[in-house]
Amino acid sequence: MAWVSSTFNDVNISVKDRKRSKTTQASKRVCINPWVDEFPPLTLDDVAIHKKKLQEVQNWLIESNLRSKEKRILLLTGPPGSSKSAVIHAIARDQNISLREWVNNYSSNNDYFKENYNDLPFRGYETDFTYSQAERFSDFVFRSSKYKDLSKALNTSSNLVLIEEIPNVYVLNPLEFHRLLRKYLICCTCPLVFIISETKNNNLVKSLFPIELQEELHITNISFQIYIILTLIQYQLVFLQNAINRILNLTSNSNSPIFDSVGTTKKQFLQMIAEKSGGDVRSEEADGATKAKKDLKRKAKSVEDFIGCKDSSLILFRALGKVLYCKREKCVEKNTNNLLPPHLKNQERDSLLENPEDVFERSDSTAASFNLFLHQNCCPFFTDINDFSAAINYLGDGDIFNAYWDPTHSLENYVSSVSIRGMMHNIKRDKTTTPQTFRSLTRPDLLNVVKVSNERLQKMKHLNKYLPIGTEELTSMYIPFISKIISNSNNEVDKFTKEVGLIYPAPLNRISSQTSNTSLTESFFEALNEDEEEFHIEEIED
Amino acid sequence: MIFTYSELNILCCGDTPSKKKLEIFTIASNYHIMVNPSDANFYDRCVIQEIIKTAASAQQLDPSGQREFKVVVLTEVDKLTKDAQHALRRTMEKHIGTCRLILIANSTSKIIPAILSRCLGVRVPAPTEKEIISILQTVSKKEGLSLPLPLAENIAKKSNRNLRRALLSLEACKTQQYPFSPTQEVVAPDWEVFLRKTATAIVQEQSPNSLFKVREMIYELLIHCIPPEVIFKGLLKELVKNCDGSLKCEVTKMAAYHEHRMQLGSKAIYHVEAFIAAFMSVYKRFMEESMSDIF
Repeated sequence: MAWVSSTFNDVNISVKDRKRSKTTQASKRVCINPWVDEFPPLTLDDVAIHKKKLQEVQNWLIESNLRSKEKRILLLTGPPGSSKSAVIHAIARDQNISLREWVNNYSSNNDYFKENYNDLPFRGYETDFTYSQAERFSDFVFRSSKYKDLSKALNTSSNLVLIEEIPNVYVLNPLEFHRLLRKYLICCTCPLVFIISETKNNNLVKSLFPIELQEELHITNISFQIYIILTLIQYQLVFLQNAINRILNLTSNSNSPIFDSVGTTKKQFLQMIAEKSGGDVRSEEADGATKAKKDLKRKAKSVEDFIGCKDSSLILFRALGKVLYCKREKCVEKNTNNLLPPHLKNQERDSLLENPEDVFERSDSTAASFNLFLHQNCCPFFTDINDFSAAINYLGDGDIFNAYWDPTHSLENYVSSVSIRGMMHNIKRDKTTTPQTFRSLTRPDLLNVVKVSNERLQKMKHLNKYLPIGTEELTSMYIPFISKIISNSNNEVDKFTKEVGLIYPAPLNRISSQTSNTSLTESFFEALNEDEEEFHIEEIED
Repeated sequence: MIFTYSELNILCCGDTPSKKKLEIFTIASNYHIMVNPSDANFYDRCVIQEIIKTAASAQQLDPSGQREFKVVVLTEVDKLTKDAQHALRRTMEKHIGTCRLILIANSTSKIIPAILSRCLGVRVPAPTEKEIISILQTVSKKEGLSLPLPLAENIAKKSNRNLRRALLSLEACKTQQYPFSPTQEVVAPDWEVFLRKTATAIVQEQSPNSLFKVREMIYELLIHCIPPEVIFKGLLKELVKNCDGSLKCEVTKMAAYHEHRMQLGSKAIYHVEAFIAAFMSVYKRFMEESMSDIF
């Protein structure tokens, strides 16, 4: 039902038509879709993932079908492209499970949405804007877990609900989401799978699935990793290569003569792709596709240029170099005599070759992260502590500007300007010394430090939530002492406490063995305030 | 203290781990709700309003057997944001009929005067060393340990009149060596030892390179969840030991300046490092001057 008749009659192709044309022409064309979509892993062996992880997921599925109330929810986390969804799809196909997927739809008039809902009584989603996304989502979760897909109902064994995108409503309001999950556990029978990609600054998992909730609802969390990071490079390479090989075989079967041209270098080439992609299967396949197109014209030696470096950080590092090496014009003429009064003569500098604002603009990053990189890498470029002190003061200024939060980021440019100029002004290079040697630039450690300490702090607070002491006292006094008091055990909590509280690993052999588990202080405090417990109970209820 | 219940809100203040919380526990009953709203960061305002409102709006079930009001205990009030404190003042006034508050704070200086004037202030001093020693001895008696007096004195002295710390370090001493010896060393937390090492590294060499190494050490402390304020305090305490009179004053001023900036900013490490760098440059100048004086 259209309110306005379409003026684009000539280009109006319905979805069905498009689909049909695709299937008929697939044999003729080679790369209509990216390979990623064209060749999803079909069987379990095709998925580029460690066998153990695969086993874990399968085990969960079996358990979830056996037990009624526990372990109904699975949470898969991992960096993008670590085969999270591929695993679920492959397992579903393998075990003949009908998979119901949620797709965030932004326009209410979406064909895909209707397709997914073809078994629901049609409630006028198309025109009715009163249904919020949250309502639709909960509707989807509850209904699709109860009813099977009608088209496949006869030959599928069971149902599995898969959610890869979580409606934004819940991201803003995690409590609502938690309520939904609890309700789901009570009334629904079918296993539920969440897939959340972990990127660097993404704390979606933390906010939507906090540890407490995971414990409470018995959520199984399986996190996938990029194997490159874990010294399992070999393993992963084999997996990835298998994945790529399979795809390449599929394509070359159809028609392309790509690999005739590459010939013997094929294996090296594969290895190269696998390494460059940093373990991201998807980017690998995309790379493969790009290469396939271009390779016909070029020789294998220049392939390296095409296997795109996924690192966009190269641009950033270039900008960093510009700032830190801080090239200035060779002073040609000294007509600057009158510019600065004598007492400020030591602040005089030759003019810069690069405009700092332009450098920042080209670096393609936010001021805060650029400052982090500067901070991480600036040390070796200073020789005098006074200069360094001045420079880092400017970084501090930038940080203070940055702390004023405003949605338009109007201070962003000032932040970068102050800190970059402050840094460049104070990097003095002797003209007499030889040009500086190459120094490797590194990523800031601070990000990792902040991440780890936040995680630890959260966990610590959670574990010690019944203690009536503040955070500062907890971290700087209670935990360090307790970690000295408890004995070495394999207990998860004790291990964690030791990890946080002790800076150097404690000597393993202790002469006197621990007698009692309750610590002195605890027993003392308990003796003094017996009704402490009641407090806590009330606290929880609130 | 109980008589004050009927009329007023109470504000307990005192140095960290004086017995203020304990005293409240001892008189506490099941009509209490105890909350630490400062844990909620900048949501603290909402937490306070919500809690007091819900607590106050519900009437007591059995007024004859209970008091006709409820009591809410708020801890770490001085850590609340100004926003939350103003909200607290308003809600406090609004629900005075059904709800009494006990506020616990380490110091009244960070509490807005509007709240101060509405509360009965009770100052709970930190226990004296003598008190701590006697408590240590009672505890060890209950646990069946024999605690030599010199060790108890030593522990009490090292604890900064912090009772919890004294008890914790007593137990840590026990795990380290029992039976006790009078000259036994009092166990200090690892991070304090580490911080001392950091301070020595700062004093030893003043160059951007050594600062880079110090930065790693600061990271190590941060990763063990030591709050940057504590790092500041500890560093200053250690560094000042190496300075003479006038320099002490200058260094303390620098520390205050940079800590203030840290509160304004968001990334603590810049400001900690700025302080260290400033100290290094001042200290280096001082050393050079004193060297030239000698010759």
